Order: sequence, then C-alpha cells, then structure tokens
Amino acid sequence: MMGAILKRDLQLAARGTSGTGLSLAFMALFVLLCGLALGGSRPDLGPGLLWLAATLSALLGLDRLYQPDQETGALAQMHLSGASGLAIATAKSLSFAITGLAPLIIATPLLALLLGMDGPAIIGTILSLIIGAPAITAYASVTAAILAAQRGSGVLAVILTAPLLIPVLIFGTEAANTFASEGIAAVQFRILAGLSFIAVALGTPATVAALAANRGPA
Amino acid sequence: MTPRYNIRLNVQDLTLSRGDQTLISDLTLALGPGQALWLTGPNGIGKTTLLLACAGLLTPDSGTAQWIQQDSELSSREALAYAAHRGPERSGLTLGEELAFWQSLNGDSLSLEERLTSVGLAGRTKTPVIGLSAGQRRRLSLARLMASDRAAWLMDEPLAGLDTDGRALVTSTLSRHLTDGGMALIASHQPVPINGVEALKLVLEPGA
Repeated sequence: MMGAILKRDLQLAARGTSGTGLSLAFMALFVLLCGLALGGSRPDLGPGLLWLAATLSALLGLDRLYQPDQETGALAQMHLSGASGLAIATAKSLSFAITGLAPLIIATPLLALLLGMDGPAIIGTILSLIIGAPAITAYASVTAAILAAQRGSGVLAVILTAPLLIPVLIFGTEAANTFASEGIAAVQFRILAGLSFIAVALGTPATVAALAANRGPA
Repeated sequence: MTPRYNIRLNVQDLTLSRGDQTLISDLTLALGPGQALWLTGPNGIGKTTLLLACAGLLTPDSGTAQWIQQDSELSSREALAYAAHRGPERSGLTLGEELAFWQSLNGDSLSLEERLTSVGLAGRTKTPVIGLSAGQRRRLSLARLMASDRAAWLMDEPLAGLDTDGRALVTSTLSRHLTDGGMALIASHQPVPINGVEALKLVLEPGA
C-alpha cells in the first residue's frame, strides 16, 4: 500500500513534477549570492548558510507534495481504496525526503567548497543535515497537508513551516560547528536527533488529521 | 448461484448544503442488491454532493447514509468505489503506470493488460495520461471501478464523452455488476441503459 504510493510519487518525480531541479538551482544561487554579499569566502559562516539554503530550498517545493493529488481527488480515492492516512502520510514524507531533501544534501559538499569550508566542517554539516532531515520532512509534511486544498500556497507553506524549524536550524548549525572539535557525540547532535524524534512524533498524526480534514469535496 | 455481492444502502433524513445554500433536505431512500439509482436534475442541484455524502467524503448537515452488509454496518470505503466526474489521474504518468497503481491499491485480480483490454484500451500502456481523450478517461475510470471489487459503484456522468462502443461498454459492465448483486448510483443527465434492470429514477428539483 505504502510502497505503491511511494513508487507512484517517485515515477512522478522522475518526470520532473516534484521540482527537485528548481530546489537545487535555488540552493546553488542562494549560496552563490551569500558569498557575493558577504564579500569573499567566509568558511566560519558556512554551516549556517548551508543549513539555511537547504531548508529554504526544500520548502520551495512543498506545494507539490499533497496539493496536486488533493486537487485531482487522488487522495480521496486512495482513502476509498483502503489506504490508511498513516500509509499516505508516510509514503508522501518518504518521497519528500528522497526527492526534495536528499538531492540538496548530496549537493552540499560542492557548495561547501564554494564557501571555502574545510573537511571536518563539510562532514559535520552533512551529518547534521542528515540527522535533522526527519524534522524538516515532518514539519514540511504537516504544513503541506494543512494547505493541501489551497491553490498557490507555496509561499504561505514556507512562512508557516519556518518558525517550526527554528530550533532545528539553531542546533543543526551548532552541531555542524562543534563536529570538528567534539565529533558526532557532541550534545548538539543528540539534541538535534531529539528534535527530529519530536517532529516525527508530532508531525505524523498532525499530517493524518490534516489530510482527513481536507478530504471533503474534491 | 448466490450473488457475489450483498449490500444495502439506507439514506435517512439526509440534508446537504454547499456554502449557505441547502441543496437536499430530508431525503430518505433505500436501495438493495442488484438495484440502480439514476440521479438527474439541473446543473448545481446537488447530484455530485449527494454522491459525495453517500461516499462518506462529505459530512451531511443532518441525517445519515448507511451501508449495510448482512445486517452489519459497513464503512463507506469498504462498500463502494467512486468514479468522480474528474479522475484522479496525474498528467505526468502513463496510462499503464496510473492504472497499475490503482490496481495494486485495490488488490485487483486481473493483470494490467487484461484490465486495459476489458475497457477497450488494449496496447495503450505507454500512452501518457495527458494525451488521453475525454472518452478514454471515462474508460480508465470504468477500469478503476472494475478493479476495486466493491459492491456499490458511484458514478458521476459515466457517459460523458463516450462513443457508441463506450456507452455499450458501460451498459454491459453495469448490467453484469448488478446481476452479481452489486448496486449503482449514477448521476447523469442522460439515462444510462442497463440490461434486465429498470433503474430507479430520482429527479432533484429546485425548492423540492
């Protein structure tokens, strides 16, 4: 059930409907412009900038997560076909993590080199992004589900999700910064992992409830 | 031979509205196995709204629509399949990918190619959904109904855009479904001919 929904989303993403390319381009542009605005390379600001760039770029494609399937009535049909809200929410979240977030994390080392960051800082940033990814995905899924019935709600989705991600952003950046001195056992990494668990625990039922509330007339 | 399905629909004092406009008030009807209901009436009168309420996708203002199988209540999602006026297909996919997805959700016993053949779309697996005509989309939605193996079929304008062959296909498919003990609720402007069964006609009228 969940596998079928995920497979369909990946097929759609392969046809370019998930906006992965757009998010990647935005992230590269964002980092490039930051470099220009800050006047040369500032490796000390690198982790923060990359976290900001990855988060904002990932949120850009948020209105493509549930909204097209809501609009065509596919979400209601999946429900009638026996798919549980949990299966739909989990499959969609996984598809967001795979098509929306993973490419950005993979692009991070290249952009980090652009900012003049050194090896440990780059590894720290990537690790912190991976550990924080469930939190970004869970909160993104909640707002996308709430706004599923709203057309053209892309910017609104970013505005609603950003405040939820503030603690994740703070500890993500701090974890990346402390990786060089304290490694993965740093308390910042553990807090970041905790934030991810909280986000998934709160976000999953909230997504399911939001999808149920939006089930009405297609 | 015992029929494949055994389902009843009880609609009790159903009142439905859209926005602040009451569309249907205090509707009561009962439908049993092998019966079809033809809903008709002017645009915007509430035909689709009534189908949505029966499908459990819309909460009525008051009253209930219950699905009953062997004296116990069935949730709407176990009882019915709903072919909406606009299908759930996504333009990025091919016909084969789209139908295979709904087949796997519903656990269809037929293969993709067999199912496509049954609605006259054989060999169209690779056709992009965006390239389908209105009639082919109706055929796809008929294929989804057949794949669902649900006792009750809710159909919104099943004949729109279909050619003579397509209309004959709807008639034969529906007739077989009703013979199997199934049920059909059809919202349509034109009568949907069914072999061997006279569809009950419900005309929705303004102010009724």
